[in-house]
Amino acid sequence: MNNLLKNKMVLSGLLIVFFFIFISILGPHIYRHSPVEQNISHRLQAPSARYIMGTDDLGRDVLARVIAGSRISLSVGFVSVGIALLIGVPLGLIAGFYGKGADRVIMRIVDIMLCFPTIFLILMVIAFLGPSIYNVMIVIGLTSWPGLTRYVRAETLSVRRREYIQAAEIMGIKKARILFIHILPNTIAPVIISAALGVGSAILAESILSFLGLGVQPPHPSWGNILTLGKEYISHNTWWLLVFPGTAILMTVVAFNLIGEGLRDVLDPRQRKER
Amino acid sequence: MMIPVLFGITLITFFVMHLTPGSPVDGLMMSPEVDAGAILRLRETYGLDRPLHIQYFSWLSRVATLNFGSSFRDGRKVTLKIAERLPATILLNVVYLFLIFALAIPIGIISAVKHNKAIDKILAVCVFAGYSVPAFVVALILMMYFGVELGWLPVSGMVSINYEFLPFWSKVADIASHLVLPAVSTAIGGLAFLSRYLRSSMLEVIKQDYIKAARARGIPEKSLVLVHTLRNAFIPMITVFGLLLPALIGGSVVFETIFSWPGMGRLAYEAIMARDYPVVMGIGVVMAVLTLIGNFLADIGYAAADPRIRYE
Repeated sequence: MNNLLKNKMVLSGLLIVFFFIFISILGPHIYRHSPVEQNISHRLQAPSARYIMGTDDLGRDVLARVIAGSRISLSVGFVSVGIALLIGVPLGLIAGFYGKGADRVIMRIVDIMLCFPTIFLILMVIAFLGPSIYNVMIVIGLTSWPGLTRYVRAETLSVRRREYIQAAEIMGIKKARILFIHILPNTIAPVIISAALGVGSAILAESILSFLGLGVQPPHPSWGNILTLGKEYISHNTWWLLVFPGTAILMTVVAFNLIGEGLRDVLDPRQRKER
Repeated sequence: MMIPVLFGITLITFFVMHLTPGSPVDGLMMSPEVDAGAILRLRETYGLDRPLHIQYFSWLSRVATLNFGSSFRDGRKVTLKIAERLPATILLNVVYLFLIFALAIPIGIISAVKHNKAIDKILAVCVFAGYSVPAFVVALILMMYFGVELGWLPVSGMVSINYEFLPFWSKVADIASHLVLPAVSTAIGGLAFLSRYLRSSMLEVIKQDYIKAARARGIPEKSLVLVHTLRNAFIPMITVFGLLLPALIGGSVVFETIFSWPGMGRLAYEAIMARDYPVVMGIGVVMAVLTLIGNFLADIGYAAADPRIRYE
């Protein structure tokens, strides 16, 4: 743990993430302007002292909308990675531990999923099920587990050949117990790394979907749908509708990538010496 | 490997499409002028009234004869609709691949040769930024700055309105100017991914004994890096190319929609939005086939780059 906090990448990533969590919880109480209140006479205003990040086409406060959007983005990120973990980890454990038929079937499914242009699948499901934030979370979760399964399987394969696992088998400990008590904890490093990276890419996917009009529906704010307006009014030079939500997306994705990469340096000693 | 993947992709596409609520004739039901009988007949003509597995197998057997059916929207053949969009997508992606390989190779080599020196660290930060930056936001910002603010580059479509009347070289220049923004903004992520991969791959190879041996024999540093190391470091890159393809094809849906690029990705978006089942299925197949061809080429490239690998 000490090692973790000494790592500058992990530390700075965590700081940014905590900053956004703080904003998403306390932001609306500190910056008391409504994200949905319209003020047509103040539409498309550039940033000023009154509107720090400007206003959108209906005169809504962009700063308030960016703050409210952070809640959406973070919850999509965490929930969809949670779903991916619930699917990906058990499948990887089963494939690596039991081998044979189970392994073949699971890995074949993983191969198919990895060949599939995921965004096409996500778009299709959301377009047909109807755009909603819950559908977005579920679909991103359901399509992002295969990479995880691969890592867990590889880790399980290498752990299960170790002597202590063989010893446990000889002692007659139940297979399920070996799997969950002795093997699962050893696969935790790649799981944490890809979970951290996964939150970043889930946030990115949500913003793309909302941008295309398939995620959070207006008037509810999200970083993606502020960008939609930015594109719509692009000929009016409304840079604040692009730069502020864009920076928010960039910062969260960078933060989670920093955490993931930093963790890889700390947790994966094989790669550590290379840097 | 190929057949199950193709099978799996069409199966997933098909069932996702049909198991979700709603159907292509929904829009008609709203209209008071259309009576229930007409809707039933419409469902019958499109075969939407039959059980799902029968619909799937009849679709599959028609596809075996390359008959993808006709669009629900305008009745034109799916193969025709895709064929007229495919060149634009391929053009964009070829330019994209050229860009990222042309830039990633020098970046990868420089940062590996100057390992842990200042330039390596600067490049590493740039690469990390490129890796994390949301490419579609960059696309929008570039669009606003170069397209609207400065007015240097066109922001949407593939050709100008007066394209038909231009002489040949102006036509080429016209398409090229339309290509710049979409190609550059899609390239950022792939470039970062590739150059980072090449760097670590080069570092791995440089440590090997045969490189030390080559250096000991007095082979000049330049050919040591460019021939002995690069060739070996390049082998894993070919696999990366195969991994990059699905993302590339998926990404074309997003970027072609943003830039109104008249390619297959935008057709996919339009077809999905209109619930045009035959077109969506057709695009699913084409995407799967393109991915598989990419993987196949990667395998061949693999064997060509590494004489130790031979396929039976």
